[in-house]
Amino acid sequence: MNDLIRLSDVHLPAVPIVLPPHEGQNLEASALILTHGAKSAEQVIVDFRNRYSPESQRWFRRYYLKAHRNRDRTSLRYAWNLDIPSTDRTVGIFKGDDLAAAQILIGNNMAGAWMSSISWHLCEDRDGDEPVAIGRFDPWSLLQDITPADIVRLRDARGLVPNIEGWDFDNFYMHRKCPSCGQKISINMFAFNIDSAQCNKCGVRPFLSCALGRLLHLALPAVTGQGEQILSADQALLNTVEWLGDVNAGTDHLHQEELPEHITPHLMLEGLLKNSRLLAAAPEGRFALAPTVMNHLADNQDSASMVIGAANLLAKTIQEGGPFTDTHAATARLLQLVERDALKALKELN
Amino acid sequence: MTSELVRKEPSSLTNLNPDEQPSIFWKFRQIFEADWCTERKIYWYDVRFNRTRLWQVTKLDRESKTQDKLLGIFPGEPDLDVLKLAIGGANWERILTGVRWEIYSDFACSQLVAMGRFDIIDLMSTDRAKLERIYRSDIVGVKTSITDWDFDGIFRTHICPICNKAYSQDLLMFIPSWMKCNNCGFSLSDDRGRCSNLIKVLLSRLVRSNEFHFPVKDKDNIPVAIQLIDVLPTPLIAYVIGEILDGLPLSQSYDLGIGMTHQDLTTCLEMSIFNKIRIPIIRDGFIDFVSTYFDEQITHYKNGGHLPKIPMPGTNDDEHRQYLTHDWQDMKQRFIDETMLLSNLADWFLGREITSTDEYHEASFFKGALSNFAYNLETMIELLWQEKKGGMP
Ligand SMILES: [Zn+2]
Ligand SMILES: [Zn+2]
Repeated sequence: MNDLIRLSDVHLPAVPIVLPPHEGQNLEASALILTHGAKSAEQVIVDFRNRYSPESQRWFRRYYLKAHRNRDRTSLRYAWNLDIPSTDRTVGIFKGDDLAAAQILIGNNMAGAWMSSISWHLCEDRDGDEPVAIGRFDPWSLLQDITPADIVRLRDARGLVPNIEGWDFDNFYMHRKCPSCGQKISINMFAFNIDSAQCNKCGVRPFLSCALGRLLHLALPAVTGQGEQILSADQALLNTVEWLGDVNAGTDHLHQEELPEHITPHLMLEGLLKNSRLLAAAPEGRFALAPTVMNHLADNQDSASMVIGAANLLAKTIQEGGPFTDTHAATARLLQLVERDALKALKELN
Repeated sequence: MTSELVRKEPSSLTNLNPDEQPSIFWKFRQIFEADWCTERKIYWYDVRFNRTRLWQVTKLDRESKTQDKLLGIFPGEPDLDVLKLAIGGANWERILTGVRWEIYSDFACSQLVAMGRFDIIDLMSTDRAKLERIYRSDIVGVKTSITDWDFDGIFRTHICPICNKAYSQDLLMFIPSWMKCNNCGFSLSDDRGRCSNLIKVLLSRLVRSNEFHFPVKDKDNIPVAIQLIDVLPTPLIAYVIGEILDGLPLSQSYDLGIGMTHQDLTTCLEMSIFNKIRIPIIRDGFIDFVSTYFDEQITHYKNGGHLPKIPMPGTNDDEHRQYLTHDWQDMKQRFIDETMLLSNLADWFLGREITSTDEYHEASFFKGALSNFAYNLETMIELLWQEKKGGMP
């Protein structure tokens, strides 16, 4: 029997134009973290295209060519309802029998739409008796059999160019303008943890920054003393550390975003630490754990000192603003668990 | 790992003689080879502008190819390996035991070029270098995970989700409580979430698999019994009804999740043997067919056939022989009783004639009958395989 094929070095087909990088745009390459099971951005796209290839797609859009009488012109038309020809729409008109123009027009026709489960059929006739091409809605399929010369010819003669920005029909990319420097950022979210996206110009993490900003906003009263506290200081602090640690980020990767101007993300975390019930400041710049937690751990001195040690390391890194690692993330998770267990035990006691 | 399930090596549930026997999975594959399939999916191709176009027939009384479904356009002259991969891809996530694919070279579908069953052996080229070339070329989508090629639902049901090893190599029917992993200890029926999820997926896939099938034209050479066998609808519906008999109301246990509705269950029941044996002549034919197996065993021990290697404590050979003879006679009787009982199952479930479980005085008897049923199907596979082997050159 055949072993199933697993090749790591499979590439996307060549296309006659320059596509944006498969990873995304304007990213700091060293910060990117692949999602579980992914080998590279290109591999992820190759696998996706194989899995959702035209023959396994459920629906299709039929486009067909209609020659003009007495003129060397052809219309590309879309059969909107196969049973009612009068509802067909003209997508574009070009000279002669130009399949390259037709395929680019098909792509531009649906630019911006989500088309993963729909294929395109290009036919010589409305009935679909003579299909000439079929494919997925994506640049590699829509630009099949098109040469660089075709691209230049169509651009110069007709001003027709592939609207590549809108050809992300599978929604691979997530976009955002960097909140700090304004540069356009995009990331292939099928391939990477989006929080690992970092602006290659200013170092801010646009997606992480936005999400954490909203989270921190909920705990703002703990620091400003004003408004309604929705999230406790500890919850906000430990969640933030966990989040930052999972992608090796520090507070300097965050932008002001949802926070007031005078409170930087770093000041915010320091403020949360000061207001923490779990980590209380102790003499000599050290931190002690809340009495409830200490009582809970009293039976086991080893684990008590281990937890305190880890908590102090964590508190110190918070004061320094990071960078946080997955060890810090694990400590944050551990502290949340220990506190939850302690509170549960206390409840059962009463 | 997963190739364990399709290899041709000894190991069988119902191993009577000590000669080497192929695994039950291999036997299953052989009896459901293309020549014994009773249903078919029809594909054909034409060539234009040096491109091959692959079409699927969606109804038999068609007049032009515009009524067919276009599956793909591939560069160059027809390449069967490419067309087969496309057919595999087009049937991704469907359960197609007993259905074969046929490829013709003309619209009228008179020139058969190739046919086979839906599985990795018949659909994937054995030429690995060529397969690699196709995979790299972007001519056709190549699905590369084993579950993508699981047209019998066997990989999904027989491979441990934790460590990816096959649970066992001698049980073909899907009986959740038997799916225990020797390697890591995982037990499917203990993980209720995963178990009911799997059942939901299988049910919705079964229901979705019914499109564009047509009966094969000439069934003369196919044993009638093959039409009674399946590996998924019967065990699945038996399991679900077993749960219901345990007191779990259907709506509560199954109607909540995505993709499983009462309609799915009804469809599954209609695909199972329980629907077929409602008809007395089929029920009796089924009893006769499977009884030959029990009769063989009984005759074997009665007439001095060899005994199992492991002796029975406290008995001599004669007593052992007598015991086994009686045991097989009991089993035969029980099989007949249970089949009679279960021939009412579909009517009960669909509310046609019988309105309550009162008819079945003892739910436990009923449940026992349901779970034994899977074994009876394995017995049928054994018998059919012997028949197939007899017919093979
Ligand atoms: Zn920036
Ligand atoms: Zn296992």
